Amino acid sequence: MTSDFNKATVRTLQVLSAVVARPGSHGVSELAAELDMTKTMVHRALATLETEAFIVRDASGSRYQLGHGVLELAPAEAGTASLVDLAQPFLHNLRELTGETITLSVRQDDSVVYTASLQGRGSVSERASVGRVVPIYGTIGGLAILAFLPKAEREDVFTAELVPVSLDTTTDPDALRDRLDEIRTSGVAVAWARGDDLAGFSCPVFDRGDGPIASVTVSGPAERFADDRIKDLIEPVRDIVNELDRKTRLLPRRAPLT
Amino acid sequence: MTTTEPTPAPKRVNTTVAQAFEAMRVISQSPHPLTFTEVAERLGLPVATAHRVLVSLETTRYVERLGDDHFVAGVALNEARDAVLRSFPVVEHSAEILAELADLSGETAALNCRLGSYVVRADGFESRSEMRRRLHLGEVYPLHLGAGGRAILAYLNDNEIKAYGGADLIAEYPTSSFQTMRRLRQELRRVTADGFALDSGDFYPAAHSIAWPVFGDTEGTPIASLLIAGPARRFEPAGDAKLQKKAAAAIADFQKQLTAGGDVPACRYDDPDQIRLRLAPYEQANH
Repeated sequence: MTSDFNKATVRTLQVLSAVVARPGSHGVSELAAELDMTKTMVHRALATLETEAFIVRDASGSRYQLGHGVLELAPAEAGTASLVDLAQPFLHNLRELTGETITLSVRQDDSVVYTASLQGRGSVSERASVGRVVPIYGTIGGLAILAFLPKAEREDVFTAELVPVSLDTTTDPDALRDRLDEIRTSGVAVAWARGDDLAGFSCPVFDRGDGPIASVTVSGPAERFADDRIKDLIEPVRDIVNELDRKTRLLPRRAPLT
Repeated sequence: MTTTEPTPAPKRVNTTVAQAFEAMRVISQSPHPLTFTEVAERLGLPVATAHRVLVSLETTRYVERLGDDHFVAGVALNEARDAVLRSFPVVEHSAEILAELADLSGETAALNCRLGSYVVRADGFESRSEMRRRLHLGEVYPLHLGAGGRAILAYLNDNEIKAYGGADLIAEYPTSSFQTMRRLRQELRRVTADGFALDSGDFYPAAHSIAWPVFGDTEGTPIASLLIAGPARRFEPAGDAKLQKKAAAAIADFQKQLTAGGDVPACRYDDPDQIRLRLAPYEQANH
């Protein structure tokens, strides 16, 4: 079979995606430079997109913006996928990649709930435990979320005593604040192997309002999670979680706490 | 009496890119995933051609494959739709009032933006309750359907309301309560008398809703509406004077702040009244 896809179609949709990526209006030269296409190619793509009103001109007449035609593409089941529905294929991919236990922790006020979990493949591996509820500061699944909450909500955690939930729980308030700062900088919450407990790391996912609604954790026995292995796994795991994040960022916000 | 335009015949799909657009439309409007064969049938194309079209769409993430051969709307398509929702000017001012309305009612609060003869569900907060009215961002309906649309329609001027009647959208999108322009006008008069629109199961049998207009200038040009919706069993906004008062007060504050910074247009498009959208068929019973 000759090429499996049609170049003109792909180029046209790439132009549409470029307009989607940045709000406001776009000029032909800018788009050509950004997409490494000729101005003729961009013109052709824009003209085709204009026929369906996926793109329309702005008030000036010479720049282009996203059009109303896209609204005709609203799926009949718009927005009905739940977080767990969306996450399932990614949890499976992560288990394929790492062989370890993968847990989706969902924020519930000042706790997290282990909402979905896939068992690691090793004969020694962490038990997949669905339904467990722990304080949000207690484990890395919660810390990955807590670190990205607005400051006022973060500080709520410090109004009561911090109780150890696992060997990894940071119970000293100052140390916990430092740890949260570090998570915000690196984008991932890590539990380094210490003794013979569990180790692993957790990455947050966000909703439409940039709120951290859940986290995905890769974890297992400390002897399989030496620092080097953790460091090697973080990027490929993050790539997969970022794909899930792209979808969760279209989920509507839930009303905040009173 | 103006003649009404017949529903446009489906466009002849004779270029590859046009085929891709049609495939996107058909897949995104289908309630279930479609196979290569089903897409080919609906587009009137050989399966091999449909295959090339779908691979082009998959490469650019506009469709996504489930398993080996079922297709659904892809993340790029959903992101495109989401970007259109964010482009309505009133959206960037509305997060706080939406949170407040969700909070004081315990139900789902939504922002509906006017797009000519239509209303678009552009933003909102879902209720935290286990049983709640889903937000359904991105849904588009003609103005007479639902409280969110009627809260806008009622505040258009007389010529605009007349033109709306002439556009035949009521016939195209019938509901059990509003089958004639006369019946609709009665309801719109009630809306302006009360200052809000109600829907008690006409739009969606299991949910009730209440909506207030949002004006984009000090002359009273409606650009959007703010809506609260909940399960019919527990949410009766028609009889809830306390909710009506609290919400109206919060919205009045929001309204003042909104236009303090200058006029806010309904949308970023020229001549939105000329827009006619080909939406997925609306079936009230199945909604």
